Amino acid sequence: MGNAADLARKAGALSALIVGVLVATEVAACPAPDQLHVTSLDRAFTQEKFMSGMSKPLKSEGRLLASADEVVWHMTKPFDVKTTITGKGISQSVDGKPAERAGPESTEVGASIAKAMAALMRGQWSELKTMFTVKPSAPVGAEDWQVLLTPLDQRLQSVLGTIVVRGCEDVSLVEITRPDGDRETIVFSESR
Amino acid sequence: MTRKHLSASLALVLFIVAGVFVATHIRGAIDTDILSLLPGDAQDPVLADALHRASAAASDRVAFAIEGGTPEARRTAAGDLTKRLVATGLFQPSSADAESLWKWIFAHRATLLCAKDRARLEAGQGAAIAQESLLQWYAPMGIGGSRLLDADPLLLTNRLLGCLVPSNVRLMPDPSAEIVSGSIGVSAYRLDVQDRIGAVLQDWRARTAREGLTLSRAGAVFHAAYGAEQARKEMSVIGSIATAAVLLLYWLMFRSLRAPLIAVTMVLYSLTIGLALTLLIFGSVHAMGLVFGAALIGMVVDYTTYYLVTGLGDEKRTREERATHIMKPLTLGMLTSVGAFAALLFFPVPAFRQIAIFGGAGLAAAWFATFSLTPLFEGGAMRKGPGATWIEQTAGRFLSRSPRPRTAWFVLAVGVVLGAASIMGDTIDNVRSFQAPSPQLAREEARIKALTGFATSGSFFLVRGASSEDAISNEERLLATLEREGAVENVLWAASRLDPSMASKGGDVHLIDGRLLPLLPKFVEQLGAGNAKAYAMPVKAVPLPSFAASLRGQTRGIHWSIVPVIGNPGIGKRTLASEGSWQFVDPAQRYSDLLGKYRRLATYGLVGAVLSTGLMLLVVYRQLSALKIILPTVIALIATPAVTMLLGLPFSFFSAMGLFLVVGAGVDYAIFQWEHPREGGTWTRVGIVLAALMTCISVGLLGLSSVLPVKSFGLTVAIGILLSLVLSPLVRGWRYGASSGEDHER
Repeated sequence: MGNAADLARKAGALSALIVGVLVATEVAACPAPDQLHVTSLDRAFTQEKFMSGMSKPLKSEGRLLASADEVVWHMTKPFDVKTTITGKGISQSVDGKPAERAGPESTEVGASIAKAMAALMRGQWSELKTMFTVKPSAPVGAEDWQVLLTPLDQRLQSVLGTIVVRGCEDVSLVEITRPDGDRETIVFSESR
Repeated sequence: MTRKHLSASLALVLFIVAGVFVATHIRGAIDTDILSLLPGDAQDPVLADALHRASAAASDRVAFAIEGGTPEARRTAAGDLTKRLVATGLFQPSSADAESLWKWIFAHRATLLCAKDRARLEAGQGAAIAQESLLQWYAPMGIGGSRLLDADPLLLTNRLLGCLVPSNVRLMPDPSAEIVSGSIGVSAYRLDVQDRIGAVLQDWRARTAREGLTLSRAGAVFHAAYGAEQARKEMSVIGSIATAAVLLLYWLMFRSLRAPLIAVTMVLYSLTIGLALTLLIFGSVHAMGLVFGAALIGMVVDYTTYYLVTGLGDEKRTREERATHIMKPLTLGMLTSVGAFAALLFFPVPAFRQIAIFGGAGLAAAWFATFSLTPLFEGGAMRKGPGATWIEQTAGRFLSRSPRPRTAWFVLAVGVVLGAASIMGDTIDNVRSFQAPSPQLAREEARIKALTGFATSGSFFLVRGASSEDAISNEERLLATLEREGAVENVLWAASRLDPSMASKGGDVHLIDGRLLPLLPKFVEQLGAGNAKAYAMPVKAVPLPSFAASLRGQTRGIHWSIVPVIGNPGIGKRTLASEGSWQFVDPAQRYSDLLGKYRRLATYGLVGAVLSTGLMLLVVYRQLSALKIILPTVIALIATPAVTMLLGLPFSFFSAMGLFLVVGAGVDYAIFQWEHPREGGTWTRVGIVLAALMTCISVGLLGLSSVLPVKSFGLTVAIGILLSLVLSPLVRGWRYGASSGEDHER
């Protein structure tokens, strides 16, 4: 009995060790959000907007390319619209036609949102702190981490509401919940 | 009660009433607006009203930028600052303006077009506009939501906001700073308003000092506060030195503490009555008026001085005899001085009219108190002091001499040469050179401009029309002209863009109804949602945003509007002014031109003042030779501008104003010389030297002021008075040695 009990204890300890290692391996796969180091990215996205009064969400697809000084949001479905945001402003190209500069109002607000989006995709939380209250939560077990962003600017807050960002090695989901209950999700995939 | 006691009692009652009135009305009644020192445009009341409105619109905006620290600390500090400013009851955050603008545009989204979309609809590109709106619904983090889906699926409100908000206004400021902006509902030039805003900022700074935050400010209220602080300092220094000089001189003259006490009492007495009457008539007093009031200290004690020196001679006289001895020259001197102040009433400069009342009433009160109160207070305690003896032996003797003809002709020749130099010398009318702005405020404003695009507009187009509709149509024609000339980007706001003419509105409605809204059903179908009757719903009446409504006005049946522009539109003369419809107005240039015009008018007015003084002398003395009395003043008048130019101060409107006082006060000395030319006038001459000395010290100290109008006024009066005194012996006749005025000795 004594040996059996000892064996059982050893087996239990080994099992715990194996589970612990496995868990540790899983945890290591999802670094903390402030450990992300993404300098540039090229992602496919699917965006869905849920609004009351709409029977089905507005869905769009495309690619997002972000580098240090430029963000390109290229929607390919249902329309072909390529929006390029740089420090100098926003330009838009529809159906492959020559890009045209967007108006001043959209430049201002749009550029701010685009900058935020670029910083968000790269996990540059400190940069986002100039515009948002950033509340990260560390990954628990194998779960993705989650960061809650609340715009500091009242006007932006009334437009955007709150933003939840989820991910593991990088950002995989952005969910925006507006004050009026409307919702918007952007799912990123196919990192290359 | 004797007549003497009755007048003394009346004087005291007057003082008490005036004192109570000043104490209860002075709070909030001090104006620090530099524009109050500038002439209004009496010939063009529409322009005058527009200038006033533009100045008020530009001056009530304020902006603050909070930098440093953490974003959370900045945000908390900005909220705290806004809350404190709102709590003063003076501040309205610009979020209120933004909200009223949004409400107006939303209410007019189906009746209003911006120029670009109007052109596109006219060109039949309605489908392209609808397509752009459709794409906006798919934009990441876009503005579209369920409420707009129901009320504005084409997102026309957002579209109008994008083109109606001036391109230089940054809707999303640099995130490294928190911006607090808004307007002050009352005049930014009220001292109590400046003090209350200043106290909030001081308290806020004390609370946030540990968090490493910095605050930049922009707005006229801070420049006004800076100017007021300068005026306060100058007033304090000038008033203190002038008072100290008066006390010292009096003690040196009379070796009695009672004499300076009487002098101080007379100063308080006359300034209180002058200030009370000014507040009673105008309801306010300009800060520069108070500075001039400080200068009046030296002038109002003159009358007391003239009375007191009558007690210094060896001859013992009763109070009545002493009063009689100076009654005629003092009354004549007072009337000519008040007349000179009254001349300021004819100039359309609010601050100068206040000074006219302040100075005139102050001098009249000083005259009254000299005869009613001074004899009672004096009590025969005056003794000849070292100063009196010194003045008697030096300046008094100089003044008692009759100039030789050769000397007199030489003086006249020098006067003519200096007069020619005055005419040919430099003049200055540029209002921009009046007061140097605070370098610190200039830096802070530049920072805020870089962060937000916030800029106060100085220049504007003034548009006129026979009716409101006519004025709006003319404004639309102006905007179209500016558009053609590529200068429309300079326009900050135009009320007609938000509230166009009936014709324009009708055209827009026709375009929207005919070429855009028919596309809505298909649009809703494409989007898969939305209200196809969104733009057919009744619209609630919304008031035009106050900042836009304040751009319009009506004066004497003429409707007008102002279109503020940033910088110089750089357009042709034909665009700058269209006969009867619009004109470009650069207020600074306008005021400079007016100042030049009034400088010339004031110069002609001086000739009139001299002629009227001469006429008064002829009426009183009934002999042609009495005109000699104004000769020293005339030479002083033509020579003074040349002397001030030698000191680096060109002739200005304010120099001319100073010369009016030289006419009034300078003639006094000559009148006394004329009245008491012989030995019996010895102490009278000591009196006029003392009086002139005090005026020169107190008014001359204004030359230290940093404000050009004050500096110019002070130096001109001081030099003019000094020359009037030195030249007063010319009144005595041009003989060898002996005095010539025996015939006039009373």
